[in-house]
Formats: sequence, C-alpha cells, structure tokens
Amino acid sequence: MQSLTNMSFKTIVKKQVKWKAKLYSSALSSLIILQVIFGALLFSSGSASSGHGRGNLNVQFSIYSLDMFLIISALWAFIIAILFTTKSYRIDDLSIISSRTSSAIANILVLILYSFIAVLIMLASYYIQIFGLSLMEKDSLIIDKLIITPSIFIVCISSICLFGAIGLLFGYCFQGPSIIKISSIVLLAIVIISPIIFPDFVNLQPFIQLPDLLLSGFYVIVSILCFTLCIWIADKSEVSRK
Amino acid sequence: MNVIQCEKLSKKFGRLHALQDVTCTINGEKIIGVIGRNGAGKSTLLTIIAGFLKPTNGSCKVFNENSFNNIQTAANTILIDDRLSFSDYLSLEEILKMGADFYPNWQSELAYRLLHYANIDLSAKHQQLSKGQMATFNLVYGLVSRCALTILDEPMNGMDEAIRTDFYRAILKEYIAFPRTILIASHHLQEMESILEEILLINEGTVVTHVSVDELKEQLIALSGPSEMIESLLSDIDVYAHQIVAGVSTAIVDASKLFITEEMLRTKGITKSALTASEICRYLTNNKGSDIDAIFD
Amino acid sequence: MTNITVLLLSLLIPILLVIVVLFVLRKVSNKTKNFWTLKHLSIGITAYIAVGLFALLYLSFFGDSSIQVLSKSELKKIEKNIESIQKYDQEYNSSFLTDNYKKKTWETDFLGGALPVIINNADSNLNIRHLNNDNIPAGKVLVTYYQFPAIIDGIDISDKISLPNVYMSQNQLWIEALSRNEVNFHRIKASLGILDFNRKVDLDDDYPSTIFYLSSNFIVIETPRGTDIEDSQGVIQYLR
Repeated sequence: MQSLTNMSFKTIVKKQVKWKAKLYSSALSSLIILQVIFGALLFSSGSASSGHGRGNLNVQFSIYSLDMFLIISALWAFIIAILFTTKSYRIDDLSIISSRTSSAIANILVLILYSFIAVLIMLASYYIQIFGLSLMEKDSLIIDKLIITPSIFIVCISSICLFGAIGLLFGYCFQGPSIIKISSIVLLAIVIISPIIFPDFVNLQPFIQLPDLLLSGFYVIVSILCFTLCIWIADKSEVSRK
Repeated sequence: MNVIQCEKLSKKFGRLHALQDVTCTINGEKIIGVIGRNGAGKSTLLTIIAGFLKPTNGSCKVFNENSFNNIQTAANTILIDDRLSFSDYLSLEEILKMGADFYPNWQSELAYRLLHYANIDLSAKHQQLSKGQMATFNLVYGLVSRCALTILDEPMNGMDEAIRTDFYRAILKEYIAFPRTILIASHHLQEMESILEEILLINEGTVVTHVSVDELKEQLIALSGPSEMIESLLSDIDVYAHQIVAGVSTAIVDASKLFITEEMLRTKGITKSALTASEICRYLTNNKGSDIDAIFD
Repeated sequence: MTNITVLLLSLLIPILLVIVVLFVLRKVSNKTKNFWTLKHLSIGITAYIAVGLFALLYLSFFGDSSIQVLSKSELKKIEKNIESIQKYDQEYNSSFLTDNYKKKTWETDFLGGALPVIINNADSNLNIRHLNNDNIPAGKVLVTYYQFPAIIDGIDISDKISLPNVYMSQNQLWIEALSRNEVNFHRIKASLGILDFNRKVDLDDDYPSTIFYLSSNFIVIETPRGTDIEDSQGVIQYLR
C-alpha cells in the first residue's frame, strides 16, 4: 500500500492563501476603479463642506478627507467578502487539496491582507486626488494635515477588515446548513428593523468618542468574532459541484 | 487498512432519498467500477466519499477517518467529474503548476506528455475547452495527481471513441506505475470492463452487489429454448428477464439458484449462455418484469 | 427623519452605486481578461500605489500652499491682540491703529467746515472712527482702511475681505461696503471627518479657531482739527 500523504493543515492553508491572494486580485483592481470613479465624482466638492458667513464675506471650505474613500473601501470589502463565499469560488477550492475549514481560514487571511492593500490603494487615490487639486486650485489650497497618522491608518485597516468580516459571515451563513440560513435571516431582519422602530436604543456616539486605537481594538475584536463564526459554520457546510 | 468503509450510509436531499443503508468496504489498491443507472446515487456516494457532503445517517470512513470536511481525506483523495472547475485567470499550464504545488506526488512531465498527445493547447483556458478536451484534461489532472484514492465520475463523457480507448489504457498504465485505489463511475461498463477488478453496482440508492468482475459474470446466465421447457424451470428460480420470440423463450436467471445440470438442460433443448458484465448489471438493476417493448405493445 | 434612518439611507446609496459598478466590471472583465492577466493586474495595482506614493512625496516637498494654517500659539496671540484692540477702541484710544494693518488710504478734498458722511450698507458692520489729525491741511480728509487678522477655522482670511468703496460726491463722503463676497477654499485633511466631527467637544477649548469679531476692520476718517463730521446715521465713533 502506498504510504499516505500527510500534509499539515498549516501547509495547506498557506498554499491556499498564496494562490487565492493571486487569483482574487481582480477584486483589488475593481477597488481602484471604484475609487477613481468616486474620486473623480467628488473632485470639486470634497468629502464634506462647511460654510461661514460674516459680514459681507461668505467663506466656503471644501474639505478633502479620507471619509469617502474609506466608506467606499469598506462597502467594497463587504461585497467582495460575500462574493468569496459564492458557489463559483467555493467549487474552485475543490480542485485542490482543501477542506471547508481550510478554505474559510484562507479566505479570512486573504481578506485581512486585502484590507491592508485596500488602505494603501485608498491612500494612493486620496493623494492622487490631492495632487490633481494642487495643480488645478493652487491658490485656494489649505493643507491642514497631509500625512496620515499611524492610529488613523490602523482605524482604516480595522474598519475595512470589519466590514469584510461581516460580509464573509453573511456569505457563510447563507451557504451553511439550513438552520443557520434561517436563523441568519431572522437575525438580519431584527438588526435592520429595530434601529428604525427604536431609534434611541442604538447609540453610536460612545464608540466614536473612543480614542483611535481603542476603536480599532473594538473593530478587531468584532472581526475576530465574525471570523470565528465563519470557521464554525464552514466546518459544518457541505459543498457540491452540482 | 480499509480505504473506504461505508456503514449503513444514507443521504437525503429534502424528501429525496439518494442513498439508503449503503454498506460496503473497499480495501487495497484496485480499480473498481461504480456502476448504476442514471439517478442511482453513484455521484452522491462518490461525493460523500470525497468528503464534500455529510451523510444524513450512518458513516463513511476513508483511510479510517470520517471523510466529511477532513483535510487528510482531501490530501489523499481526488474527485474528478465534468464539473471540475478552475479560476478563469489560469491557463491550463498554470493550472498544472497549481496542481504540482498542492499534490506531493504530482507528475508534471507525464501531464505535459499526455496533454500533448491529446492535442490540447496548454495556453488555453479551462473554460474555453470543448467538452471532450475538458474531460481529457480533467482525467489527466486526476491521474497525475497520484492520490491514494482517485475517484473518476464518468471521466469519459464527451470524449471520442479513439481517445477513450487510449485513456482507458492510460489509466491502467498509470495504475501499474503507481498503484492506488481508483473508483470509476461510468455507464460504459463494456468499454472499461477489461481494466476493472471489482464492480460496485448501485441501484435506487442501495448496493445491489459488490463483487469481482469474474464473480459478477457468474451471477446471471441466459437460458434459451422452447417456451414450455423454459416455463417449467422458471417457477423455482429468480427470473430477471423473460422474452418470447417466435416460440423461442429466453430467460435471464440467477445462476446460483439453478440446480440443474448441463446434461438436463441439453435434454430439454435449453441452451445456457454467459452474459457480459454490462448485461448482467443491466438486468440486476431492471425493475423485475418490465421491459421497454411492453410500452410500445 | 431620525439619525439612524438618515445614516442607513446615506449608506444605501453608496452601496447601490458600488454594487452597480462591481456588476458592470464583472461583465466587462470577461472580455478584458486577455490583457488583464494576473501578472498585469499585480503590476497595475503596484503601479497605482506607487503613483500615490509619488503624489504624496511631491506634495510633501513641493506642495506648499500659500495659505498657512495658524498654530495654537499664533491663534492665542491674535486673540489677545484683538482683545486689546477692542479694549483700546472702547477707551477711545487710537494707538492700536498701527501702520502694519493699513490696507488702503483715500485722500480727498471737501468744502466747508463739516463733512457729511454717508455710510451705505450699514448692516455690514463697518467700524467707522473719526480721528483729528493736526498734520492734515484744511479742506482735506484722509480715509484709511485698517484690516486686522480675521480668522475662520484657523485661517486668516483678512486679505479676502473686500475693501469698501470710498468717494466724494456732492461734497459728501460716501463709504460703501461691497456686496457679499464668496470665497472658496479647499482644505486637505488626511483624517477621518466622521471621527473628528464627533470628537470636537473634547478638543482643547482654550484656543479659538475662529476669531472674527466685529472689530476686525476699521475705517478711520482723519480730518484736520476743527473739522466736524456730520454723522446722520450715528455710527461713527470718535477716537483720540
């Protein structure tokens, strides 16, 4: 009897991460296109504006901050994470050595990697936009803060990762066993409807007031929870090529 | 060590009972044909063995471990069917590189030679291949991975006759070079009979028989002769098919239940003939007493 | 509409746009896969990030804007300065009117012993002051416009404030504030507005980012001693 291959789980996950990171890179290029589109759309107006009027002078500030790029990146992460769990991606995993669990862990690691790259892309888009602005509107340019602080950088990565984690969990819930599918739908309905019916119950203020690193820490903890649930659900999921 | 051990394995999809109480054991390195009609449950069984689906009841152990979602099963098993898919960013050559990266026993050189022989352009994408070319590539992928358990679900679908013959030989030669357990599910039993050692016959979600090819051939025999003579014998034994054409009756019967000597048969004017494995499988999985002619009568 | 509903809607529109764009890209990518292979994609992504980095480097070294954001200490100093100006002004002390704040001077002649002054657009809060100057010959009047720092959100926009129109007509001095002037600025802030906006209450409040008091500008009418100002609208204050 031929001796059996004894590949460690870690090795298989590593290989899957290596290939998935390459094969899913069209997701990153789609992020670039999204950011170019939104960057161009909001080129003249910026992410926000504030106005002050005193006497006969009306001063309008168009503020160019990272907000819009971050929101787009977060929404992108949510959607591509769901896509990672769809059938066409899942059945590709069956063509190499993998289990549902190893694929889930590989997806998670790729998502974390992509969150980091997404922040780099986000910053690139931002600075390219500012560069364009500096060429066109040289006289009315005010630089409050040009270089991003490390804590904001970490907040950005953790936010994108969080949205990705939620999207991944979403996706896995709908691919999992029936009981999980049904409970997810019920839970989702509750989550969407309750803030509308009980608006005072949901208060985001305390979170926003947290210092950057604590906020990132909170996002990381929630992401880890989502990822753990993803792995647990994946472990129970069946997959079929049909 | 048993390669595959199924113990009262059942699988339900909603109300559909795909498999019911399947118990079978496959041990050692051999080529086994998994035979059955359309919808018999072959693919479901193979998918469960590969670890993709979870049994509703019972168990399925591959290399002594439950196969479902098991990384060791995955490392030593490969399931090849017509739905094998790869990222559309990869050319065939890159797919082979990916396979080589994962499967430790991968035979790159052999893969290139086989695909060159089959005239398949390695720069093409998997999705761009014709049905036959895709089947050929998938089969090559499965063979060169040299997994201890190689499962081929209707591998020759879409291939032309010439290439089918070639690749049956290829399967055999590869098996000889690197013995492993190969399960082949197919409708074309007569084509591959020569390379099979055992046959696992499945019908309506249950195992009808699991025997060597030689033993299968001895299960049923055809008796033909004058109708009255045939009729008198049929009362005591299981009849799988019975046809009367111009006064001559032909019956397919269970050979083990036939307690009558060749001499006796000759005196009654009844001739006994052997059946091919394919015919035997067909009769064993027929609904008793029914035949297509009756619909048109 | 509650805050949460607004928040949900404002997320819904971008998410729909993102979905539409991604959907279109998926359809298009089937045709472009021939060029955009994995290798080209990685090169493209790396190149984009590199371009962004170059943009940042360029902006860091060459992207000096002509408009400076004032630091905390500078703002505190200005605030103190303005407060002292107000104090002097209330004490009718003209010593705060130094040359470095002079923006424009008009010199004109008039007849008679009293100068009627008419202010147009009185609601634009012009601070008009009258000063007797021994150095001015009779029949002449000197009008000087002084602009002190006017800070909005840390920026001194005093040079964007349009000068008033000063002229003599029918032996009356007319001072007209120009109509509304709109100025647009583009502020670069590599931070998250959502967080900054909601955290503003915690910020250090001991320096103001907006110092735009009514006493940012003064129009001083200097006449020779003995010449009176006819201030029919009652807006002109006297300084010593």
